[in-house]
Parts: sequence; structure tokens; C-alpha cells
Amino acid sequence: MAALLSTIAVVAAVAGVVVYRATRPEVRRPGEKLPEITAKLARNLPAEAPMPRFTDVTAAAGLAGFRSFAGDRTSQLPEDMGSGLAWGDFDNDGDDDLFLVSAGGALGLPETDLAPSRLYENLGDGTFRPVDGFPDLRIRGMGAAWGDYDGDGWLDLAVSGYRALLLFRNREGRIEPAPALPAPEGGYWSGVSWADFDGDRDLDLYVCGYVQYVEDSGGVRRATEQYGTTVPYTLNPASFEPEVNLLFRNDGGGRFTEVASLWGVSNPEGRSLGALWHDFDADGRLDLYVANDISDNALFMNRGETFEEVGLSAWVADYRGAMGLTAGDWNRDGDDDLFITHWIAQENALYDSRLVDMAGASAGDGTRPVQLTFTDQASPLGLGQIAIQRVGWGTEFADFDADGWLDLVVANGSTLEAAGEPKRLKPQPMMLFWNQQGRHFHDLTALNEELARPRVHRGLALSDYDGDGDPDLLVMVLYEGVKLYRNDLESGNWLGIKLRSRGTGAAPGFAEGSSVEVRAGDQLLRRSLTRASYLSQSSRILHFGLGEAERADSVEVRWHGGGSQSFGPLAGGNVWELTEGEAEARRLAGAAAVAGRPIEGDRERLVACWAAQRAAMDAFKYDADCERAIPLFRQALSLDPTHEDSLYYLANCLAGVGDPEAALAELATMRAHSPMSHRAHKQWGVLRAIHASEEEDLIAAEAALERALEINREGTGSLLVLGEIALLRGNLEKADDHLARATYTNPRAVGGFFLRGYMAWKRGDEAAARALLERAQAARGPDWKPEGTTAEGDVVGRQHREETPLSRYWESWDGTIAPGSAFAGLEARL
Amino acid sequence: MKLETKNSVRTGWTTRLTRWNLTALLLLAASGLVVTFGPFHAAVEWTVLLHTVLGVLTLLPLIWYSIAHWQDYKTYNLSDVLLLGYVSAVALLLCLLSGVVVTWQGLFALKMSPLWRNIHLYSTFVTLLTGLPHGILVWVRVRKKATTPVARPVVLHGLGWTLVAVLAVAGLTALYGGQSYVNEFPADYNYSYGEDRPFAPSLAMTESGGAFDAESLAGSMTCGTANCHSQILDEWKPSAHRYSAMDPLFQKVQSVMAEQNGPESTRYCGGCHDPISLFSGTKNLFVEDLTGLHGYQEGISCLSCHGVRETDLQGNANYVMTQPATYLWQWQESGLGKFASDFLIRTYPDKHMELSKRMFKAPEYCAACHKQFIDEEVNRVGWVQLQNQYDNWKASHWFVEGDPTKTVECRECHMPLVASTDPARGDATDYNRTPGDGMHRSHRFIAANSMVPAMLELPGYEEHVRLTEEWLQGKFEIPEIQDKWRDGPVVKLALEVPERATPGEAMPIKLVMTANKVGHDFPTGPLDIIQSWVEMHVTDASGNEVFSSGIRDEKNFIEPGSFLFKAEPVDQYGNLIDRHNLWEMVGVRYRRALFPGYSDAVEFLVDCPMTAVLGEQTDLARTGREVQEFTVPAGAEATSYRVTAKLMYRKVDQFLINFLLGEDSGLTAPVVEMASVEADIPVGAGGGVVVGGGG
Repeated sequence: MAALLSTIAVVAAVAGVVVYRATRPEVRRPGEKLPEITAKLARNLPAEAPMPRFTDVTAAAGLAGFRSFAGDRTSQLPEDMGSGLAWGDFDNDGDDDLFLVSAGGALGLPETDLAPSRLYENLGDGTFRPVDGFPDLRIRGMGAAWGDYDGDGWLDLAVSGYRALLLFRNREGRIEPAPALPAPEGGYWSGVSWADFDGDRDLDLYVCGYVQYVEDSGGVRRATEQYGTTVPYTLNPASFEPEVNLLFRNDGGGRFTEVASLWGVSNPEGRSLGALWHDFDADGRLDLYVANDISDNALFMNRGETFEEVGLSAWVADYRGAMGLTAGDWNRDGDDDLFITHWIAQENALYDSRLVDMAGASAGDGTRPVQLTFTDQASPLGLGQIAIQRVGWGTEFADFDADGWLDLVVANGSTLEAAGEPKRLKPQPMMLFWNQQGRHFHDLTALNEELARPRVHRGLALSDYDGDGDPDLLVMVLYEGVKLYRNDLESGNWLGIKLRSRGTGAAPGFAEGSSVEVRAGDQLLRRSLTRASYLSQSSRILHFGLGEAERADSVEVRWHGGGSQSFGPLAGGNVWELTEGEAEARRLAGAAAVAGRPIEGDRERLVACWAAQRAAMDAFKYDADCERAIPLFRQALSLDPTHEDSLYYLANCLAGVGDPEAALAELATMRAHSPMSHRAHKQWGVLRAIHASEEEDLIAAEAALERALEINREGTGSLLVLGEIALLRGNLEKADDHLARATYTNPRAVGGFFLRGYMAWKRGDEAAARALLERAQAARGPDWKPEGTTAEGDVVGRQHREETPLSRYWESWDGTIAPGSAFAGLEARL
Repeated sequence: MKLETKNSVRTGWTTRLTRWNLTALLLLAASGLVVTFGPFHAAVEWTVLLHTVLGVLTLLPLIWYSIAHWQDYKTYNLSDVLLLGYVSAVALLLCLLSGVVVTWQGLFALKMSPLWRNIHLYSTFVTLLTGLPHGILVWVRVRKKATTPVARPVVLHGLGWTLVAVLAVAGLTALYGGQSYVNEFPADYNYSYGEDRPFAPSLAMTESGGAFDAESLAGSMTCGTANCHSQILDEWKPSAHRYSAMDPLFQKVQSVMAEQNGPESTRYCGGCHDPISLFSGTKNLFVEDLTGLHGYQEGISCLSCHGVRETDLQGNANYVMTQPATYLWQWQESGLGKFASDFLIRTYPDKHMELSKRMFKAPEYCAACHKQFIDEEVNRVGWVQLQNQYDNWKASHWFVEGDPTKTVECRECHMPLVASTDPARGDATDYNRTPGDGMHRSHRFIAANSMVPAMLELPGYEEHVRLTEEWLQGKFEIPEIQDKWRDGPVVKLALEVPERATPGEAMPIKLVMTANKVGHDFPTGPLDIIQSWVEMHVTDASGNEVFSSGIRDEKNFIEPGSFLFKAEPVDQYGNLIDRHNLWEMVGVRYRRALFPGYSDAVEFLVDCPMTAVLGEQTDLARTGREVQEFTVPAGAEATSYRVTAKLMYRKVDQFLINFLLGEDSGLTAPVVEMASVEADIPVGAGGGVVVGGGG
């Protein structure tokens, strides 16, 4: 019995412990998941979301050399605001060129040490080249915008910065400084925006003023509060009075008058960073939205004679620290909405315009003002809270995957100093939002290594720079330079539209502020030519993703000066130019093919060109038949006049058949087309020297060879020929220097040793001459290498011959080490 | 012995429990045998999944059945039938247990253990070999006395459900049979080198002789998901194999070649640099960009190496590529499909294991791409040898046939062992490894390019660049070959200087360079691009420089007259091949490289303190040394001189960068000081020579 009881007791005790432990509440762990806390705004990525394939092609495109900042920052505001960039076809060749604004550098640096802003020409093959002759522009730059203010059909350029506001005039592709704008001295100018606000068909310029900054390195140590965060006094925009904004009315003839106060848009209480011209109320007049840091944003409605500030009543007087700004019809409801990026601890804003929703309530016919309002939809759509930890700057809407819905990209980068590294600010990743048919914006950034890489981003702008039908992405990185991300998404059909409006002069204008509505199937796609981002300007070619649709069934343009016009239907896959007052759309050439996609151009021409070129090369190289090769090369060149190999071998063929002048002419063409071609310069120099009839020829040859040597100083070929020419011209010292250097590097330089031997012999140093002849002879022999091994350049038999002005003298030398006989021929020649 | 009746036992022939459990056993056994002995096919993969699901669902019923069956018959006298039944039951339980383990490992572990897999397999055989006779014997005894057929309903039930299962597998396979590839060339593909040689002038070939869908060789990122080969993937990401196609210099050279020599001719490069684009027919006349997206992003992807079936010693990408079969959902990077794919790879791994081949260890395998030449098909002139790491290594002291204690093969240096969590760690077939060494061979393929990973800012490039610099400086340690490799720098430097410098007399300064650690020529690779040179400084006692050589100018060119290891390839007219325009190369003007274990030397003659006269050079070719003499100025009031010599290295010469990326790109290749040496020469009467080594 006792045993039974004790067993029961033990079992009960164990059961009690088990029950106790099982029912004991679990201690809270930080980060544990609780069913009461939900995340209804969180969305898993839908299966149809595209892979955000953006490839960093900065270096490949030739933009890696650009620097946006010089020196170390000293914790002052103008060093941290960064700069922007502007896409614009300044040379009217059909593709977007690029102006990159450099933030210059640290405040203490002399101007000459600042990193220069630069203009790059788009070469049309996916690469860029800095434009020669663009002025050396060293400022603490901020914004830039292209605009044809003089109506000559060539885009001019406005550039702003800390204590800088500059205008450049474009004279048929040559950019030169224009007379200064009548701006107050020493301002701190940020965003610049061109538009014809007064409807007189010329472009006026709005310039944002940021703060009245006072340089004071002592202020770095004073702490202040910025929206509750402690920042140094000199980095807090609130420490400084706002700068007024400027509106330059274009008076024609290159003259401007500043009329901001007169028109009521000087916004003296706003620390403005960017402004966007857009006809928000569809009354045919361009209104103005201004993004302000640490002060309310302003919406100025254009009433014809003056502007009325309606920010508060329109619910867009955003008090947060606004940086970047863009407009787009993200929900395809027929009006353009606003997206604004903000400082840290502040959500970004998506102000959805209620213009169309209220169409019944007020008319947009100009008879009475529309009571326009916006509502901030950022949070429910996934654009709000996600940005709280980020400082947003440049931003643009664009349909990256061409599914017919505008996606969104944001450049981020903190203004707070990186921990333990006061010379740097905290880097942050970009944000790329995919628009799920107007229902939600999904952040795809984490799926792309490059976009997810934290950097101190600032300006941002888009352009289909490679002409493959999708918008590519360029972003400015403070301290570093730029990053060009090529859009490699799998995308739907597309359409590009370039607008040309009536201007004042003979050339049409560029239609700033106009809007286009494309109907493709059941889609209504709206784009407006209004560009702000942050201190930046995207392409003026409007990009429409058509999704499945293959064409635009109709296109309606609402011109910025009022009035609208219909076009269409227009086939997708093309860029069309629509000109105000002209009925027909014009298909623009130059839409290139993309990676792996077929070339759309003239295939027959391509095939013919290669057929001729190959036949020529075969005739020349396999059959050594120059007579046959020459016309074939000419045929190939008639189809592709700058084909370098054809020019080169044609020239050598011509020389081979005894026509050196014709050969020199082809090489001269090659030198002009391919200035970086070492062999073009060298071969021209060699031929010129071989066939020299007078001193001038030798001088010209020497110049060409010196150019070859300058291009590539490490090659010994040009050194040897330069030595020969110096010898021919009697400059023994120079000859000795060139030839000696050639032989130090190149142990096989037979000619170099031979000619140095000759010079030693002429100096009367018979022993040295003999020694050098011995070396020349040794250099003729085979290379040393361990038995049974191979080495780069091994050949079965020598396959090249390098003919130079004096080569025949050592080539005909029999190898005897007797200076008198070895140099007899050369002596006679010289 | 009692005979069963319908009501007396729960597990008699006619009970539902028996019918269903025997059906389950039949299905499990049949599907298991199909998986074990069937060919690799989507239907078999579906069978694996079905087998797993069925196993999970019938686990408890089978245990229940076994226990009930035992209880029903445990009182019977021991007989052959009973004995077979017991053995079968034990084997079945073992089979079920191991099934649970391999399922668990397939779902949640990195790999399935071969032991458990074998237990599952062999216990199945034992179950079948004892269970079947058990059943047949019982049936034979029972059928004599039974009035109605006893086994037929059970057999029919089982066969019926087997038919259902076969139809289900067929249906599922029809619904999704795995990734299908489009193995076709573009309709306008240009067969300029012959219909039977679609990839010429590269020697690379596909197993089928036709095109391979780009996706079929890509997908490297999926190898690193689920933590399987993630370490290896991370090593590969900044490696030269990864950026072989995205390298901006390669891209530019390719486009120059396409412009000048025709797009099809770039297939020559594609075999080694860009196989995915090559095999998918992207390198064609009518395409703008000759590298497709997959090729661009992955270069030499995982499968570009692991899919190779055979290679030839000829080089120039003379290999045959297979199109490895994929598992269901293999290219998915996340989600249920990825989960199922990983499960299949772990539990049905034989096809996956085929991607590891003994051949991969052989230097001959590497030679397929690390040995290059040009022939008439490329330059229309004739054969020229290009870089050839393989033959040089084979002829050097690093290869001693049959002796692993003296031989150092490619992988031992370039794929050193690293601590590993990889499922494929350990190796029983490598001579200095064991299956339990907990290591894998690094897929970083560390070598000499510190430029491109940084230029492209590839993931982990900082670490990669640091290791590359250590590599070039000989500071990279590889413990497993410590006893047969060498210490110190890659190239050892030694200065020979006179004991004293006598005013008015020349002082010879000689620098001897010896290839120490390098397993092939130094430098190696495209010698038209790569440069290694001697930077020499002579300073007087007050630190004033009285002579220098090998200095770079403000545009990053090395000054003319420097001692350079490189080659000057030329075209037919002796003009420099300076744009990597190999299609025009017919020979070299000169080349200079060090063979493993051999020395080269340069000599400078310094007048003390006379004016400079640039000096002489002697070719001591028979000893494998070059002696180069300079006469240089020295300060008149010097009391002693310090000589510093450094061996410098950079991957790309400045002209090529300027040409390809623009003179204004501001780019230059990073320069690594590989070794340096110093010596002091006091001024005064006397003679003799002092030899100083350095590192």
C-alpha cells in the first residue's frame, strides 16, 4: 500500500512539474513575433514583379572618370547638398548627351582645385566622351537644366550652385558662356527650371534659392536640433535665413528681367531646393510647385497676371524637409500627381491629384479657378514608412518594365555624418518601386546588388541613352562621381515621343510643360514634359511603356501654351517627333537595338560591307594581291568610310603597289577618324620619312611619330624610327637618346644597336662600334628560352617586316663585325 | 497452427488494414525501385516526391499494421513463415526509420548522408526479400483451405492503385516536366566558318554540336541558395572567372574586334571569356551587343566549368560542353519550387554529383583555356603562340611525374584549401586531402588581377583585391603545400653593387631577378597588356636622387628605356598590337619573361661623379640572363649612395586603358610593388663587389 501511495505521489509530483512548466508564461524575447501585431501594409512580392535588372555600366560608358567633389568636407552645409545632372541632346544628333554638375569640393579649397563640372557627348554606341572645348567650369555646383532660351533650335544650359548662377549659350553644338543673369551677388542657388510661364513662346527661368549661408567654421562645433535630431549648426538649414527665389522673364535677344516678386513667386520664407512647372489645373497656364527644406512647400497657381499661392488650401504645403520632386500619373486616372522625397524620420509623400475626380465640381476651362486638392497616398501604397530611415533626394517616375504603369525610383543618402568618419556622410541604398497596376508600390531594391549598395546619392535623372527603348538611370554620388545603371529588365512594348512646340524663332521650341495622353488598347497613359527630380533634368523624350499593346491608337498632346492636338496611331518601338501645328508625326531615326536583340537597320548593307571587307582582306593577306584588294577595300569603305582596318590595309596596299601619296592620304583619313590610333600616326610617319623628298617631309614625319609616341610611350617602334629621323636630320644627340632607350627596353632592336654602332664609329670609338655590332648580330638570333618550352610570340617563321627609312642598311648587312664595311652604305646615304 | 478467419485477426488477408498497407508497401517499394534503377527523368523526380509523400502518410499506418500483425500471430510456433515475417518486420521498421531520416535531411539538412541512404536502400531489399516469401508461403497454405480467393483482392487492390500512381506521375510530368530550353541558333545565325563549326574560330564545342539556351549554363546564383554552395558562390563572385565577360576591357576589345574584324570573329574570344553567349548564338552578325545578359552577368558560370565533358590539350577553348540536366524548378531562386528542387537534389543526388569530375583536378583541364594561340583562321597569316601557362608549367621543375611531394599543380596554388561548411567539403581523391578535412578548394582562383574586381565593385572585391596584392607580393600562405612551395616573393631580387664607389670611375649596379614561387612564366597572360618593370633609384647621402629608371610619368606611362617584362606583338608591318587586336598579330618585336626557376638581370653603370652617358646592353642569352648597363650621373659631393630597386606590376598598360575607356577616364591600373631590395655604396677608394638580397 505504501509503495502504491509513494508511486502515486511521485507520479503526481512529476505531473505537477510538467503541468507547471507547460503552463508557465514564456519570457519575452526582443524581436519575437506576436499575433497581435500585424503588418497589413507589408506585401510579399507578387510573382509577376520583374527582376530589377540594372547593370552598372559607368566605367564601360566612359563616365567613371568624373568626380563630384574634391578635398575633405569640413561639416558645412554647401558641402553636403550634392549636385545634379541634366540629360539633353545639345548636338542635335538624336541621342541624349549629358551634363554632370560637380559639387566642386570643400569650402576651403581654392576654385582651381575644385572638381570641374563636365559636358559629355553621347557617342551613340553606349559610351560618352567629354566634350572638348567646353569651358573649364569649377564651381560648387548644384543644379542644371537645358533649355533653348534663344529659340535657335539648340539647347542652352543654365547651371546653379553655391555662389554661382551661370548661363551657357549653344552655338550649333559649341557651348560658350552667355552674359550673366541679373541675379543678386553671392546667392546659394539650387534647382533651375525652364518654362514659358507667360505664354510669349520663349523660355523663362525659375531659380530656387536655398539659404543665406554664412561660412563659419566655428559653427561646426555648435549643436542644433533639426526635426529633433542633433546636428552641427553649420549643417542645419534652419540655422540660416531662407534665400529668395528668382524668376527670369525672357525679354528676347538674350536679355532677362528678374520678376519673381512682381509675379509673387519669390517665396522668401522657403528654403527652396527644386521647382516644377506644370499645368496642375489644366487651364492652359503653367503653374509652379516649389519644394522647400525645413519650410512649407508652395504651390503657385498661374492666374495669368500673377501667381496665387494655394499650397495650404490644396493640401500640399508640406512642412517636412523636401528635397526631390517629380510628377506623374501613377494611377492612370488622367491627371499628374506629385511625389516628394524627404529628410530622415519623415515619410516620402505621394500627393495624388484630385483634379479628374473633381472634374464635375469645377471646370478646367479657365472661366473660374479650379479648387484643386491633393491627398497623400504614400503610406497605404507602400511609399511612406519605408522611407523613414532614408534621406531621399533625386526621384523620377518611369515605366521601367514597360508594363504600362509608372514605377518610381528614389536616390537616398544621409546628411548625417558616418559614425567615426566625419569626412563622410552615411551612405544609403537607392529605392526602386515597382507599380503593381496602381494598387501598390513594391520595393525591388534588395533584388539588385548595385541599387542596394549604400552610397551617398544625390541628383538623379533618366534617359534612354542607349536607344534600346527603356529608361536608364544615372545617379550622382557625392564625393565619388556618377553611377550609370543600364536598364536590362525584360520589358513590354514601348513608344517614345519628342515634342516640338511653336517658338519665337525659325526653330521650333522644346515644349516644356506640355502633356501627352496616349491611348493604347484600354490604357490611358499620360506623361508631361516637366522635370525636377533633385537638381536634375531627365530626358525630354517621353517614354511610354505599352505593355502588350503594339501601338498607340491615338495620341493627344496638350501644348504648354494652351490648345491640344491629336496624332496617331503610332507604331511602338519607335521614337516619334510631334510638332505643334503639323499633322504628321515624324519617326526619328537612331533608335538602336539592344543587347542580344536584332539590329533593325539595313542588314543588306551590313552584309555587303563585310563581304567586301573580307574579300579584300583575303585578297591581300592570303593571296598578297594588292591590285585586287584595293578596289575591294574601297568598296568596303564606301559602305563604312571610317572602318579603321580597311583604311590601314588599303594604305599599306597602296604603298605596296608604289603609290605612297595615296597611301599617305588614306592614313591621314585614318589619323583624323581615329586620333587614338598609334599605328595610323606611326605608319604615316614611317611612310612619309621613307618617301621624304625634302626636310619638310622629315619634319612632318617626325611630328606624326612623336604623336604616336605620345599616345603610347611604352612602345619601342616609334622610338626607333624617331632615332632614325633624328639621325637623318643630323641631330646625333637626339638620335642617340631615342635609339638607346629603344634598345634598353627592346633587346631585339637590331636597328637600334646597328645605328648606335654607326654613331660610335662616327665618334671614332671603334671598340664601342664593334661591341654594338656584336649586339646587333646577337639580337638577330633566336630568343633564348629553356628547351622544350613555348613563349608568347613563337612563330614557325618570321611573318612581319618593319620597313623604316634606314632599315635596308642593317637588313643588307652580312653580319661581319667590321664597322668600315658594315656602315659603308649608311655612310654613303647620310 | 491456427488458420486465420475473417473475424479472428485484424491483419488477415481480407481486412481493409491489410489491403491498404500492402498496397502502400507495394507503391513505396515500386517507386523506390524506379528511383533507384530508373534513368534521370522528370517523371522519376515526381516519383521521388510521390514516394516521399506516401512514405510520410503511411508511416504510422505501417507501424500500426506491423504491431497488429505481430500481435495477431505472436503466439504461433516458430516456423519459416514466422521467421521470415520477423526479419521482414525488423527490416521494414529500419526502412521506415531511415526513410524518416533521409526525408528530414532532404528537407532541412545541407546534404543527405550516404549511410542513411544506404540503410534505406538495403533495408528495402531485405524487406522485399523476406516479406515476399513470407506472404507467398502463407498464401500457398491458406489457398488450399480457403473457399474464396484470398490474395487476388489484395493484389488487384495494389495493382489498381499502382496504376493510379503511374497515371498521376504521368499527369504531373505532363503538367510540369522541368525547365525546357530553346536550343536554337537565331534564324539569321551566320555560319561563316562552316555549318559544322558554329563556334569557330573558337575550338569550343557543344555536346550536341548545336546551340545551347543561355539559361542552361547560367543560374550560378541558385547554387548558393539554401546555404548549399554559398561559400563557393561568394568566392566566385569577385573572381576573374565571374567577370570574364563583364570586364569592361573585354567588352570594349570585343566590340572593337567586332567593328574591325566582324562580329562572328569574336567567337574566338567567347569560348573562354563568354561561353554562355557563344553557345546561345549571341555572337552573330546581326546583333548589337555580342554578350547576352546571362553571359555578361556570369562569365565563366558554375556550369561553364562543371558542365565540361572533355578537353583537349590544344588550348583555345578546345573542350566539349554538355547541357547538364536540371532538376525540377532548379532555376528558381526562392519559394516552394526552390525548396522542392533542393529537396530533390539532396535526396536524388546522382545527377547532381555528375557535376563533380575527377578531371577537374588535372592541369590539362585548365589548359583548355589557359593555353592560347592564333592561327591562319584568325589572322589570315599563320600560327603564333600566345599565353601558355600549361606547357610552361609542365616543362618546369614544378612538375615531377608521379611524385606528388614535388609536383605543384594549378589548383594547389590557385585554389588553395579553405575551411568549409560546403556539402561537398572533403575529398578522398586529392592527394593531399581526406574526406574529412572539412575544407573545399577556393573558387576565388586567386591570381594577379587587382584591377577589374575593384573597377566593377564586385561583391567582396575589397577582400579579393587584398588577397591579390598579397599574392603578387608572395605573402599569400598555403599551408598544405608549405613543404614543397617556396618562401618569399614571387620574384626574388638581388643587388650586386661595388664595395666602394671611386670618384671618376664607373660603378656597376646589377639587379638579378629570379622566378621563385611562380609556376609558369612570369609575367604570364596577355603580354601585350601586362607589364612588370624595374623601378630603380640611386640617392646620395642627403637623399637627393641622382639617378632613376622605370618611373611613371604624370600620364601613368612608364618612361622609355625602362627594363620591362612584357612583349611587343606586331602586325605584318611591325606596328604594335596595342589594342589587343590579336586578329592582326603575326609575331613579336620582342618579349621578356622569366621561366620558373630562372634568372634575368639588368645592369646599370654609374659614373661617379661624371655626367651621364646612356649605356649598353649585353645579351647573355645562353645563361638565360640579360645584362643591361647604364651610365648615370652622381652628385659631386656625395659620400655614399643608396640604391633601391623595386619590381613593379600592373595588369593593363596605360595606352590600352586610354584607348578603350578614354584618355579622360582618369583610369589607370593599380600598380603593385612585388618586391624591393636596397644596398648602400660608400664613396672612396677601393674595390670589390657586395651582393645584397631582398624581398
